[in-house]
Amino acid sequence: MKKLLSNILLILVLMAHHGYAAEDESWGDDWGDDKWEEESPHSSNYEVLYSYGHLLDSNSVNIENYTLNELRFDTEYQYKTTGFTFKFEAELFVDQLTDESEVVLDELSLYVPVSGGTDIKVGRQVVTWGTADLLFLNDLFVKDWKSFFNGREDTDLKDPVDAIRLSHYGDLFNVDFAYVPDFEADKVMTGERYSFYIPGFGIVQPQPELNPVKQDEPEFAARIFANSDGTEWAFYMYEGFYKSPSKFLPDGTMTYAEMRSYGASIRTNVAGGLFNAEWSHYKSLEDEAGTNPFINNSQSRILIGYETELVTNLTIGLQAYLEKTEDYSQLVANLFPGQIAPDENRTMTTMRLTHQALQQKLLNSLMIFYSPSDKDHYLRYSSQYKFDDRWKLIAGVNLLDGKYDYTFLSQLKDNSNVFFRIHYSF
Amino acid sequence: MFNSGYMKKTVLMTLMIIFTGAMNVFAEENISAEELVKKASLSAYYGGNDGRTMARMKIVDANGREQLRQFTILRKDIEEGGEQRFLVVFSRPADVSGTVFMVHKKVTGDDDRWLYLPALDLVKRISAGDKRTSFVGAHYFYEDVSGRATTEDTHQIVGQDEKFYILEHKPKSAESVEFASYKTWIDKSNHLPMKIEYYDNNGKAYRLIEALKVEMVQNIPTVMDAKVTNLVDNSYTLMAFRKMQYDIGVPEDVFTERALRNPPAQWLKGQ
Repeated sequence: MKKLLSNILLILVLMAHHGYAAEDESWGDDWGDDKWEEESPHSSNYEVLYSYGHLLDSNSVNIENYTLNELRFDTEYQYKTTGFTFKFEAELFVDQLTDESEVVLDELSLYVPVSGGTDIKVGRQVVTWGTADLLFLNDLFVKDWKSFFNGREDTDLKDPVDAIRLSHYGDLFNVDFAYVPDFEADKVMTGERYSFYIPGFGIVQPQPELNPVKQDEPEFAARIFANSDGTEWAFYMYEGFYKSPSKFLPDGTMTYAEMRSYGASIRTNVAGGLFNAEWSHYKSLEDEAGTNPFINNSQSRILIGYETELVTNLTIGLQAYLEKTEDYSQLVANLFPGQIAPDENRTMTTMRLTHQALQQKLLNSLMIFYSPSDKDHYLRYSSQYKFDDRWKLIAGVNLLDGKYDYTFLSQLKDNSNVFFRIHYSF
Repeated sequence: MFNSGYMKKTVLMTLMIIFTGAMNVFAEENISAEELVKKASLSAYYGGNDGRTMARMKIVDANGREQLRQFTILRKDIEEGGEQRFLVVFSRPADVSGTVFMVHKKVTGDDDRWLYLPALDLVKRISAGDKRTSFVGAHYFYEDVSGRATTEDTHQIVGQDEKFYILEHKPKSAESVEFASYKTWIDKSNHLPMKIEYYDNNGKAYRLIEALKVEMVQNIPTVMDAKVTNLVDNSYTLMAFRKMQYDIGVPEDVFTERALRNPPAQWLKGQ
């Protein structure tokens, strides 16, 4: 609690230092006359953010009774001309939970339109594609799952990656290539923040933390996509590794198995709403027959979604998702003693309700993940209030539970939490 | 003989001028509501073949608290009075800077709309239904930015004075909108809708859009300042347009995912 107070104090000091004088500066004439600032190629934005999240269950196995307690100062700079765009974003990150302070580089990129329809973007950047909402089929770019269940911003789920991205925009279709010279694995639970299920141990927060070993090899992803009169279609492929540790070496080391994927998606307006469907096939390159219980089997993933406005300012989004494990009989036949087989068909449904009020100063978001096959669920709720263009307060809850300890969402049940964040941007 | 011929010609020309003039007056006098609405739509949303403007909004809530938004709008008409493309690139405030909104406006069927969120590198498609919700917190609706299709309502001329035609519009599909009807005051000289008032089921006015200042830009009458007022709580949004240019020659292929991810500096800057 002391730490919490000292952080809030620090924010207030920063605010006082910065002061409201900057308001007039940034808006120049503060409305009213015609002295509009000349468009400058430079632009910069800053944000100070304090976040805190407390565990709901006092009997939780977690070491700390909170999942989030951090102060962040974010700096963003952009230089944009007709010839190129340079972007830089870095964060000073003071994490009370891990007792670490560090500077994190979020972006350092150069974008150049090379010729006619071809662009190149080199450097540290976020890359996203696919049509689903917080479920990922063909988007195999790095994600930070450590930031997903504790009340950080949705945007923190997408981590930047060092990449070369080449895009070509043609008359009939567009092509996107992303080359990641050094494979970036998802940030998954290792024990620093969350408790989770470990076979043989049950739900624990492992200490020392798990330490999966990452390959120093490249990843490659591509997409062909187009918009045909409002219907967006795309084909995808990826060659690299499973993004979470899925391979166990004889000495017990966790590492990442090789995979290749291909897939497709479509998105279009239907009956006043938005329909999307996406499919992908993950080919497990190191266990094509599915006989190795220490490496993932190949999978097919399919999703359909529909989003529509229920009434003004209230939108609903529904998704149904299936993950089918292939060569399932081989998997079952080769299980080692005590190993729990996943369901052959893992299903997930989601519902997201988004409500806006008070000139969008208030934004309420509720998303429920329910897996009929795993019999577990995740309720993700937040309310955001914008006091003005600079201050906003967000509060919410993350509730996780399920029938069995070992399923994906249920294993995180001890981490259920309430949280809040204060943002100040300028 | 020469003189008589000259006279004849002059008389003929004078007659023609009077006649065509009379025709014009005659035509305007008998102009149908549909034609007026089309002309108003052309004046308000189709000036030139394309255009670029800087825009600012001041959003004032019922307690007098203010929010500001600054952005640049690029527009291209694919067909006069028909399909259009819009790109709206936000620069202020800090938390929406870099956000880009794109509309492919259609004549029939739902418009296609996307939002680009730079922090996620996410091209988010916006479902067609929520057209009449607030545009980035302003009292303007998404639909006000690109214009409501004239085919969605029935139109009737309900009056006129020296300056304005007054029209009443009723939605063909009442459940898709929050109003029971609205009235438009269309300027007779340039067909710009100068005032739009929205009514609820009890016939009570609850929303008002006004053009506050009109100037000639490249010989096109152009709204420079406008205001939307919520008549229930008196909150409002002021919108101002500056550095407006028509016919800059922006090509259609600027309005694609490429521009969402990397808004084209070449077309966003003043020419």
